[in-house]
Amino acid sequence: MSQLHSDQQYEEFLALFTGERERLFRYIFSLLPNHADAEDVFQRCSLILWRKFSEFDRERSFFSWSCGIALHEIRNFLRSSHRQKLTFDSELVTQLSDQRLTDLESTEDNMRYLANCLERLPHADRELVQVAYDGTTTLKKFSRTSGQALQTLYNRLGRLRRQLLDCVRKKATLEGLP
Amino acid sequence: MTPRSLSDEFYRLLDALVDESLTPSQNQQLQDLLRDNPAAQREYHTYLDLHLELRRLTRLPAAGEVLSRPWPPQRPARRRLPHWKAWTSLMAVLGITITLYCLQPPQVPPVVLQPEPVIDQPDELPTTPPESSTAVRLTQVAGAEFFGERVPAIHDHIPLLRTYALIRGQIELTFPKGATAIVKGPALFSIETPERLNLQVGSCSVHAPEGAEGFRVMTPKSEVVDLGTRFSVKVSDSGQSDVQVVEGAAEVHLASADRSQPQLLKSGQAIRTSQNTQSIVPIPFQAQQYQSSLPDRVLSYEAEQVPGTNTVRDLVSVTVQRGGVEWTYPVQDLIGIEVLHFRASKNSHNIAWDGTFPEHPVDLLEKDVALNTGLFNPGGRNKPPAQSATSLEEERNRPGLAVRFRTPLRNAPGADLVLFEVQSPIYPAEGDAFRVGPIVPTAGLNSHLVERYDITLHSKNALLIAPFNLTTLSRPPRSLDELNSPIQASPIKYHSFFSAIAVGIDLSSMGYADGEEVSELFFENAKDEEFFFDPVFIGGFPPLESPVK
Repeated sequence: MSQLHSDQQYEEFLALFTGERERLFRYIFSLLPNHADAEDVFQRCSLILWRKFSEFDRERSFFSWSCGIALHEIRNFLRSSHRQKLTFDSELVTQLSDQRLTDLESTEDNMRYLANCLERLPHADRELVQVAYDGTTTLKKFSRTSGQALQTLYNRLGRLRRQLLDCVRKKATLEGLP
Repeated sequence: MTPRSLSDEFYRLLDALVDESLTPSQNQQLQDLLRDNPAAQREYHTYLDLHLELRRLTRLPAAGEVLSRPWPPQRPARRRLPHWKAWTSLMAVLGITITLYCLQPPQVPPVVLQPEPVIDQPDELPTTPPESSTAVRLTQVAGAEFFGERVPAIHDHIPLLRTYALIRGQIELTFPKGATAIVKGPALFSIETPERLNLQVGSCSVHAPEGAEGFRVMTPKSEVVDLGTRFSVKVSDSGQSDVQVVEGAAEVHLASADRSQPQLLKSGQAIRTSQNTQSIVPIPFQAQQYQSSLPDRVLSYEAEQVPGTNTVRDLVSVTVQRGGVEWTYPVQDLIGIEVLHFRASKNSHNIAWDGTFPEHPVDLLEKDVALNTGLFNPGGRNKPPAQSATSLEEERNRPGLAVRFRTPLRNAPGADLVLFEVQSPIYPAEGDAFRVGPIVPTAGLNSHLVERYDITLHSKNALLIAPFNLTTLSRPPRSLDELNSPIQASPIKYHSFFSAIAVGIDLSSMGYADGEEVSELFFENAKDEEFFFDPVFIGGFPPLESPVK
């Protein structure tokens, strides 16, 4: 390292980064919607942000600055990806980035209602969401053990996502009522 | 409630996207729907948020999980210089590496994403967790710390194509066909396929037993193909790599060369591939570059879960590597202690208990195996103890904790005793430093400084402990009598933010000879007077010739 950071800078970085890491990951994931890819870029960004922190202009938003660096890394990643047929083109990434930044800066996080919506699902539906998301098994295995067709499970899961999204929106609307 | 203008097909595509089953033609369709359509883009973002939140809500913390894990670790507002120094040191060590790794000009793809040579490269990233038969697993950890994430638990699988920055310590990876690789930090690495490790910087020692031939280690400019062997690879931050074959044989391919012209290396041979000259040159063989095992240390522990909670209380067993061999000792086979002396320096929060307040607080270390009770914050001196002999009484007046083992410990290879303390994320993750040594300074013996525990908060093997009460005394106790007759203030209740961390201590580190018997030891706080250590359990390991299993 050409420049040593001070203890105070480290504290400041930790505070800012900790506060924004989730939003930053959401930003990266929206432009690179594959978990392994997004986590890879997120890791690189965390290293770069710390390394470049001495250049950060305190008058600016840390989140915007982080997203600028993340976007650069995402473009690098996309240029070299061997999965180009499954990633978005550069123009769309720019559009999605602009939209995402606007949304993340300005809108409420309605997903805080999701846990409650999830609890209200019937047991079998909750179980399917759990299987699909908890990382301990796969829908394919569940399909074998439960005797249900894999495509049927995927279709049901899609319907459940929409149902949960509706629930979240409904709760957000009700909350906003006087 | 969903926007009416968006078709069912749009949502089907989003489902395929988040299920990671999108085909190239569907990807094109989705792009066409999203392009120049702000409403669709907003809905796309919302759908992804829903997906991430479902993942967060349902998922247990796992290796490689970013969102479910706080990062960077929460630290106290006041940080200690040593910890900061560790960061600076890390950055210095990895500085060039990170610069090369992260800040390559856009036209130069990062090494990890365009590995050379490309052999059997998968077309796509895996879309489901690997089956156990094809998973690469983390099988051992010693003092390891990854940048930006916790160390996965032992036996966790390591995802493919994800770059890890091992800041310090060592890990062992076991591949599906039986090959093992010990990676030593600082290092940058990723698993390319179930039979190929990509080492960008750092060193690794590979053992590929029968059946695991063909295992490969990629470096930035070469690839080592195993032919049934033990070998080590060391990659500098400039990309230069050294290969040493300790046993068997291996082939070394230059990334830019014709693959039909590999260099064959046999036992006792070593070569260097240069970043600049694109050549392979012989170098002197150094057998010591190969590491056959990780250092002796406490590997893990088991404790009884408190029903209905995710916390533990009573220690059940300790697993430790001694002399390169792994032993598991049930707690009843560990050698207990008697507390001879306790003196705090300035901290008067000393008695950690649960249930009812103990009649004799020393029982919390002497008679129970609970990991949430003990005698916290023994004092210590700011400077290392003098080596000149002093009287026993004088030594006993000093701040710290003196103990006697119920049967003498016999110095054997590796750890001879274990100390557990409790720690929460707002305190140093590597543990509170302390010194341990003979009660009376003796010629030839020294006090050993413990700065980093074997199981730290960075490890998923550190278990959350049940809540406890911490009683504050009217003043820091200067003796066992004062500790046993506390004038109690109201205890403070601590909830489940604390984990039990552990360190094994080798009597040899204090200068004791092999086989020498030791009955008494003195523990004292070290490094500073801000973070005191909080012992909850101290136990000796049985003599090595009669291990339990």
